[in-house]
Amino acid sequence: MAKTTKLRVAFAGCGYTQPTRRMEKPETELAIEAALMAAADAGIDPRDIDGINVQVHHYPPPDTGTIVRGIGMREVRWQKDGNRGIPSAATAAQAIEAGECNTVLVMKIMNTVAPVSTPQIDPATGQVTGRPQFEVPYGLGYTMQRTALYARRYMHRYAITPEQLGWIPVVQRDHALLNPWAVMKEPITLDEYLHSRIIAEPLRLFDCDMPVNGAFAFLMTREDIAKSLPHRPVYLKSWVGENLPTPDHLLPERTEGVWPLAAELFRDAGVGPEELDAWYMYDGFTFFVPIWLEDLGLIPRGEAGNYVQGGENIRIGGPTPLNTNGGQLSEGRLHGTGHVLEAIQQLRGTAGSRQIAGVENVIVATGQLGTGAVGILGVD
Amino acid sequence: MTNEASPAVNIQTREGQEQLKKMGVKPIPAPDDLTRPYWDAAKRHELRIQRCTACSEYQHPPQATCEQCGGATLEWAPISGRGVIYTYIIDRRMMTPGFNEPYVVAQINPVEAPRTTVRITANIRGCELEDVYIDMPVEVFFEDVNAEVTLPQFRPTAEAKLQSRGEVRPGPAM
Repeated sequence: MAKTTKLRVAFAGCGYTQPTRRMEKPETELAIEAALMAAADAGIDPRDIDGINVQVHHYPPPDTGTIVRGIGMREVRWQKDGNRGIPSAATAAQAIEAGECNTVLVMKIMNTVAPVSTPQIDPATGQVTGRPQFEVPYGLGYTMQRTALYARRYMHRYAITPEQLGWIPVVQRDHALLNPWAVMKEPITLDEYLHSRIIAEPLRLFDCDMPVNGAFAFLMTREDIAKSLPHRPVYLKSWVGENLPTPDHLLPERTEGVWPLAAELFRDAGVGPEELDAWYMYDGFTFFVPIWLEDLGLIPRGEAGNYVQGGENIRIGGPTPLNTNGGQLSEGRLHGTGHVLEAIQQLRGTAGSRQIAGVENVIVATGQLGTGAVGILGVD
Repeated sequence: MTNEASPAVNIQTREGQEQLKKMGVKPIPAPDDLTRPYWDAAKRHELRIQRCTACSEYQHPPQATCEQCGGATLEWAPISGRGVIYTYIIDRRMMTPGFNEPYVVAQINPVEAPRTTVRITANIRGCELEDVYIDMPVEVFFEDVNAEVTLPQFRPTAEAKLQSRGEVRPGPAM
């Protein structure tokens, strides 16, 4: 079921630290910096933040208490760790609707000390347990390899070429050049994409997102509070998929996941696919983007290659600008928080030189294909 | 517990994985109650996968119940070892310990199991890396890693079209 909150919940306030290739400060310090920036941006006294969601994927995680004290929160009425992107926003929205708290700080802290996944091999015996015992002994141990397997089949099935899909990283890089937070600062050409190092064919280096360090935050608050603040309120109009089980993420031929729910997503938001002014699609790897677009019915099955070819359809200024912050491929891997932050910036008209004219509704998909979640964000 | 024979390795980190590579660790399956029949059959140079006695559907990798009908009685049915490549990658990054030359990882759909969600993951040997293609007909062979472990592997059948032999392979299924 797609979901909405009856009490409308708004995004208010964006906070970033500059993404870096190396961790340059203690992560709690970065977290406090991003949180205070989000509060200042929203026009909310940080002492009035009364809910917190901190997302990390490394171990050990930072001490939430240190962050709470550093921000100066008076009380923590609601706390839930983990999740990412749209699911985090949806969970916070539900807590606010339930009256558990008024204003939630939602934050992702990235620390490249730990890769997102490594094959779990016993150093003494070489043994691999569980389902990976059918994969790791054959040299299949990383997400990027599984993504490449899926991408190969998808491209074969619909006769889609690297010369077509390469426009996604090329255009997103151009967008990143307009984004002061983006870690990548040089343009790339399609030819450079095609000649970038092969990692696991058909996956190239420029198909992989860029691991970064830093803290990235947004606030969510009640509609009545949001309306009293300087920025135009941005609403989470509907979402699907925040609690989907996690299947093997190499999916069957026809992905299911959120796909059957896309119609409900649009119905509950009261916004049709044709009314979307920008697309924010999770891009841990280039190949997630066309498959997300087709799964959500934004492009007919098998048509994504033709649609993105040449790049004009997905550029800022084109009919459906894609990942206008540069996405994870070029802004940096923020596990979906970058997509949400950019959607907020665009909808309230604070995206600077990347601003799309007259934005009212956008779609944001965060997470792996089939197990991620999708939301529609918009303004009145 | 650490000693000189098995130094402490943090396999959660990239450094730990590189250490495993340097130590020459070769990943092997750790059979459990659910998976042991598969590996035991491989040791006898037989390929067997789960088949539901209620609905006759095959499935792989093994699960406790039938993913099609929920049936709880699954037999380990012998299959011919012939199949077609559903998808594959050519890995040139070689991050996984035990792999030091570019290699193919493929998912093979056995001829007995028309459902394409039934896939055996294996390497493709016996041809050039660039010879591999989707829908390539392949057959199983058995790699005895040591006295305890045998890995089913696959190679092209005589019907496969090998570019390296100047044969033209079929184009993508549209």
